[in-house]
Amino acid sequence: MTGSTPGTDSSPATDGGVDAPVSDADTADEASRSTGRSDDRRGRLVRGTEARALQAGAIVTAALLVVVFFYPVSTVFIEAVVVDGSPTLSAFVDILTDRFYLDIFAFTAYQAALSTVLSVAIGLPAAWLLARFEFPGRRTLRSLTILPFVLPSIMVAVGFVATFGRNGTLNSALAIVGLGPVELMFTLKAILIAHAFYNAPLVARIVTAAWESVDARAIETARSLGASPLRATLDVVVPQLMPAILMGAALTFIFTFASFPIVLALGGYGLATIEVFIYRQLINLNYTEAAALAIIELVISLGLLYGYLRYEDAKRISRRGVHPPPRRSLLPDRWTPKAAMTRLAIAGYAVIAAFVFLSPIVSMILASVTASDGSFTLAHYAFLVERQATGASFQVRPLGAIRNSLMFALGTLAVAVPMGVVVSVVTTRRYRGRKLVDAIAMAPLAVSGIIVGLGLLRGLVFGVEIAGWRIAVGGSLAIVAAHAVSAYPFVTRNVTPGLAAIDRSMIESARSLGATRTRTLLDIELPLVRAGVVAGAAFAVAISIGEFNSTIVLATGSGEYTMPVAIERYLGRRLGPATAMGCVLLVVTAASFVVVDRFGGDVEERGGGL
Amino acid sequence: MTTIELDGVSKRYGETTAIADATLSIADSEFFTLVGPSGCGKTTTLRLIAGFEEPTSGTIRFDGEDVAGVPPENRGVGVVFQNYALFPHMTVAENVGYGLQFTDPPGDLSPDERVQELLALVDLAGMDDRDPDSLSGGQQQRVALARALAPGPRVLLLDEPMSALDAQLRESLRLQLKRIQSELGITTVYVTHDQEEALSVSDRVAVLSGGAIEQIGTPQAIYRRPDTPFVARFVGDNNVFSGRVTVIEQDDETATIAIEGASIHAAIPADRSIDRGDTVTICVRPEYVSVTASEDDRGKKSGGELNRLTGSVVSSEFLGETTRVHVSWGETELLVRTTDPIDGQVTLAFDPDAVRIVSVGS
Repeated sequence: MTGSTPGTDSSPATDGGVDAPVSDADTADEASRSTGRSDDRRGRLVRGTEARALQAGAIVTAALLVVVFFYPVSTVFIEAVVVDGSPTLSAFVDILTDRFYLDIFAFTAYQAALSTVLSVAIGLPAAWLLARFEFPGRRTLRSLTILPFVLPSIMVAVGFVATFGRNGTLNSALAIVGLGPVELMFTLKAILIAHAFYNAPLVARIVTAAWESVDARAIETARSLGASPLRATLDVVVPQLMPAILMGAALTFIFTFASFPIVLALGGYGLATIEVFIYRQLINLNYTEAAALAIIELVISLGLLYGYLRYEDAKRISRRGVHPPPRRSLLPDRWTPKAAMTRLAIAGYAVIAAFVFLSPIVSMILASVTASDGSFTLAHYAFLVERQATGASFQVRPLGAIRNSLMFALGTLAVAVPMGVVVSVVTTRRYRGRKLVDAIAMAPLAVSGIIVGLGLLRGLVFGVEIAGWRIAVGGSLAIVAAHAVSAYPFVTRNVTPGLAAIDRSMIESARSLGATRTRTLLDIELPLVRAGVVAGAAFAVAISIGEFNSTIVLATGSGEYTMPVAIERYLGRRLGPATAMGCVLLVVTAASFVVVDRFGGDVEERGGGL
Repeated sequence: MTTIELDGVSKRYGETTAIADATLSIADSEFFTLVGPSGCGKTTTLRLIAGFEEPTSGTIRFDGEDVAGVPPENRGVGVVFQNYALFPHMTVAENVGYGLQFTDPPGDLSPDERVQELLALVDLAGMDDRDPDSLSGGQQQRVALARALAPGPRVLLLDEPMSALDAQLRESLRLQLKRIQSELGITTVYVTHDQEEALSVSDRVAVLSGGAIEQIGTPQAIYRRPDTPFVARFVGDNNVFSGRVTVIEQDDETATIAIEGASIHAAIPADRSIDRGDTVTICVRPEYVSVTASEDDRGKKSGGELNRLTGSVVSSEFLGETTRVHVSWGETELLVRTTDPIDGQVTLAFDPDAVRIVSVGS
């Protein structure tokens, strides 16, 4: 029974097999055993290549990250500390002692804190509804909570401009009921509502998951020990929700702290966060100051992120073998006063939620077909068509922007998905220093897109001189690189939980049956996490199409304008064309999301076909 | 035709030692079982043999050849896990045939024929196109066994394969496994925490505790002649005591040991040397102790070296075939077996040969 030495080209003599009669030619068996391991060069070559495929993938990913992220970003940072060829901290000293900048820091933190409070306040009732009630469309609503996260921020900003503007939908609606116009544009309130639009669903998602993992048996045990329903909730449910609420709040704070397009569009010049100010310094070519600001912002963001990750690690919620309590029906069986009060509160909440989540989208669509006198018009779309037909080469043409957006999205898909999967694989395996690799791989999440864009612009697009050779990368390539860098962490985040949950013994079974590490990944692990890969791909596309921060920096010519950049350019002129372009972006984003989802769903791949 | 040798094998994870200095050799076609409580190092040992982990020190040899650095896919091992680990995205046939992509089926069989052969072997013919999830636990485990055997491995490794199944199923699957194993004559390493399972299927058993091998032997030897107090307590029901040696008989065959104010006579194993004054740990299996109600015993003459103790019944558990009776004797409690329930004062009698000395200290 020596035929077990795996090979694809073994002779019958070496393959006794477990159920073949014990070979009577023991000597032949002996002989074949001694040569068994070297009898198949081709098989070994294939295996050798396979064994290294994973390492090669990891090396390529690391190299790509260095070239399109770490190197460009570090060139920006070096600029902050090296002035006229000598190292100095003067830029930091200037900023940190300047009352003007300190006010900006304070405002950035202040608006982030208020946004967090508002997001939690709007997100928690949604979590309660989603976790504890049963109603038609609950599952759909639950999955829709991911949507705001992937909507292009500049589009949402345009939507809120259309809502809050002097002639916006809010004031029109108020005028109908005879209330005077409210001035929300360029106020903190507008920014906070827009931030809640993005982050309340995030809070709702995280808390819903935690709420659904509260075990009914724990509540029943508390009740059987004498706790009233309220006491059981306070003692059993609330402690299990607190970590989730804090996580949602922490993430909201981190995101809103670095908020850019929302504040840029809704805050005007009066209200500026650090990120907005970095952008302004950039436009004014104050690179040193911009870089120093970016470093300070990065340090704060990383600190917050680190604290968050530590907390998340400590409070990981286990969902194994959970029996959640049954959901209540939205329409009660009996209308008691208490039940009626509860339903009234839910109805009130639904109105507020509808305003926050639907008004920007609805307002944008309405504004795109409304003339300045309030009548229906298609003039804004006609403007897009006309601009396409007659626009000068330096002007933003709509079709070009759509084409660019889609091309960049395809490029991003091709780069970010393999990168994200490789990072997932590398960070779910156990080894010393894994946490460090994880942190480095997730760094792009913490670094401002503006800085990535600037770094790519100055580091790669303008070119670098290496040993007398000038190496420059085209703007389009740089944009794809920037998009891939901001997209792949989302692929990783979608793939990693699935990979980590795969039973180790399944992988080991495949290995013991003769599959190499790479084969196991392709045959077993990836098919099992396909849903995560597809979701990650959809994210990558949506993020690329909506990406604004680094694209606005890198898109120097009309050949690189994307839809979000086009919206920003049109927004500078009039709201109408911007909303029309916003509607186009909405349709394209939704369509790409559906296409990726459909495509991913149709790929019926069965690993290990015989 | 594969033998496995472990030579001074240790595996440490940082500060903790999973298995220390393990040396054993497994003969060709042998059904060898590693048994012990959780954390004893049995699964680690199996994983070292499979190549999922490399030992920190020591050598593992297949057929005398060092397998250090040989990845699991090149070792020719078939592994069956407790949770079956079937590939959920493949059918039963695809699961069984998976390994045949990398290794030609033994004999002149095509991969398809080999799959059919294996499915028939584990009584699952016709289940080819089923999804693993649609099978019962016992069926899933048989698919896992067929999958592991399909490429014709040199060694079959089973890691608690029965633990997730109910008692009746375990018993029938155990018989089937034993039958298949002896039919194929494949060298098999079986890991379990269940000592009864270990005794019933194995050619030889290694009892592990705290990362060390306590004893290796046939099931009979492990049961009848435990070498350490741990083995005595772990395998089967047992009464284990410590006492001091007061008398060594002239012939060096019997020692008298003072325990609880009584004297117990014990046969001295050939491989132990014992002196007066040594502290020894002894054990007596319940089934070697005869129990009689004390009033019936009156008038019977104490016979030679036969050990006789009196105690009173504390509790008894009726198990059907037998009744387990807990008898208090001085400060300690003895476990004995009777066919009929018994109560009150009892006399316990057992032969010196039934007493096994399992450790000696001075």
